[in-house]
Amino acid sequence: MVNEPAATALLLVTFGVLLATAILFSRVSERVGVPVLLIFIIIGMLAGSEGVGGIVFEDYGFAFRVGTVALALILFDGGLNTPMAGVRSVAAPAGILATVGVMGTMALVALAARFLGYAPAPALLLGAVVSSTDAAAVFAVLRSSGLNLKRRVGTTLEVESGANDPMAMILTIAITMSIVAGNGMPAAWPLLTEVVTQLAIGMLAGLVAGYGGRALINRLRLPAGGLYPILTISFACLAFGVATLSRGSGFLAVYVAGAVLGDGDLPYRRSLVRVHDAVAWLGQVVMFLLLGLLVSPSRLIDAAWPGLMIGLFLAFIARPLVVAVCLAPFRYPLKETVYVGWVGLRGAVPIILASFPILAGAAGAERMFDVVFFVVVVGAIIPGSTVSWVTRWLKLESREPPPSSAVLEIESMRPLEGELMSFYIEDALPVAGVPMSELPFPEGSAATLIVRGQKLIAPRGGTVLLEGDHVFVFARPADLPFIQLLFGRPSD
Amino acid sequence: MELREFFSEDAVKLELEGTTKDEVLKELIALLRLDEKSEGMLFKMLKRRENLGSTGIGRGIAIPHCRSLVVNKLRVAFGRKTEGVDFKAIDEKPVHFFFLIVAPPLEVSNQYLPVLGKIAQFSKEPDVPQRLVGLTEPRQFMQLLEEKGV
Repeated sequence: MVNEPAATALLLVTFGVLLATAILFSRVSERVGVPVLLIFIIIGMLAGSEGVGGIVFEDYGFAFRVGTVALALILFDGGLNTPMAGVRSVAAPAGILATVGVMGTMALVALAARFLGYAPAPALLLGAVVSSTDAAAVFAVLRSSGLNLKRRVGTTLEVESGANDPMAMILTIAITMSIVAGNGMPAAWPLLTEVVTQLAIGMLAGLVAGYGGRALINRLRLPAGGLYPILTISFACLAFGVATLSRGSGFLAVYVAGAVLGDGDLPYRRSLVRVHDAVAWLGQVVMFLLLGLLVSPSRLIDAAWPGLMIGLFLAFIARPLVVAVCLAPFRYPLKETVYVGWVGLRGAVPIILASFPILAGAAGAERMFDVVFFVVVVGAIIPGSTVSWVTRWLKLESREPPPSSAVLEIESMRPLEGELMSFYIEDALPVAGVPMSELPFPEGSAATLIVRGQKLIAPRGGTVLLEGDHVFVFARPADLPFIQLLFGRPSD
Repeated sequence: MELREFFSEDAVKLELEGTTKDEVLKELIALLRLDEKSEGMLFKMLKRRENLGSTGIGRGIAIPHCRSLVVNKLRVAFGRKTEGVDFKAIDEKPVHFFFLIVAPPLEVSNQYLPVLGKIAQFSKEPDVPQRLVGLTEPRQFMQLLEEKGV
């Protein structure tokens, strides 16, 4: 340890430069309209052994471990932010997409891979690896273009992508194991039993962690507010770990735990959610940088042809077809089916999954890793860069009010009686153009602040609410229906 | 100001025929007996308001409302649909009782918000949904308003 602390310092400098570069360049994705993950990967590649950075990194095991941890925390955050009311309405279609859809995509991609000369088992493995989608990639593009997707389509994509990672993971591991054991193609029945068992145990572990965690966090009085997010991170770790050790799907467990936790009252809710959001972003950045470091551009050239073919087949044929079949029973309008079929972007999960066969020592796994990398990049460029355009073309953007330039929040350790909500004033609302003194506020409710452009206004009797104002209203739970009758739907 | 001053028996329909939100809104508008063009404009305005958040306030009650040039004084109507209609209400339950309020854009007497408040307050009374179910003719609706003193 003679080089310490210099070695650690060097590591931190490298890490700091990489992170800062990734964050600063994330704005480029806004201008170019490609998913931000692509920018992070390119920065990773530039920093890598064949780029300007010259960092040699070939540790697939480390990347897989970091990727798994990052993914668990990203899924937990996804669950935490999933609106449960919306989930109930899309549970069946998203559930079918995440199970039957994943298997369908796997089968079709395997078929295409067979045409490219793959043996049956590796073809199936390739199909399993690229079968899960990443809604975060879609939402990042939409957010940066200032578009809001119609709620049902957005929630379907979101829940599907949260729920299909476990399925892809289970299939990848099972097929890899079968190949490594020399059995070639896995038998269908044991594979199906494995899938069902893992999903069932994962779901159970997630529910226990979610409900147990919710009960615990609301009973505990911790000495500092900053300790609450640590506790929720521990729930995520436990949900993933215990589920996986009990032969269940850790990814499903961690997603369900997040969703259950997020659906109830939480102390310091907004800070908690913000911390998890930051943790998830850190996970995304680190994961993609590492994956960028891991690939060698020179080796990618060999994978270009099969990668491009599979990527195009997935985007233009496999995904749209599978989505059309899976959504048919649910009577989604054609344009919504087309949209979900088109924007099934792939994210980091396939790349992480592709490193598993390498770790397991499967033959030809490194080449497959390169092909998968290519498939993800092709997907990020072709459907990825058209997301905003397609959203507008299919008229699937929902008109959401512009965000308020200031936000007022209540933070509390205990769940309190009463809520502070923000409303955007439009002229079709009964309160528009009316002085405060004439608004029939129920006893115990009041407008607390008006944000008009860059101005903050304290509401007084004579203050008139104008179209375009954001108004913050405090109300008791029993009065919420009436408040919403006056002010419309609260802003998120 | 009392609610029953604004209602009249011919603007009360106890057997709405519509089965969708749009059909019910059109049927309520028809109770105000306006010309076709005005009915179309009113429907558009009501839909604009509904798009900002459903006026279904829970307990099977909705209070669609808007301001519009097509009326020169505050107009109200009541409709009932026993089977219930999906109105995307706050509690996600079907809506059975509909109170329509239409106010002119500029009112001298400022009745719009007080009437909205009074109907909401009337709807909150515990026995009101049950009493509304039991109505057999429009006259009884007027009597109920009188009895509740709103």
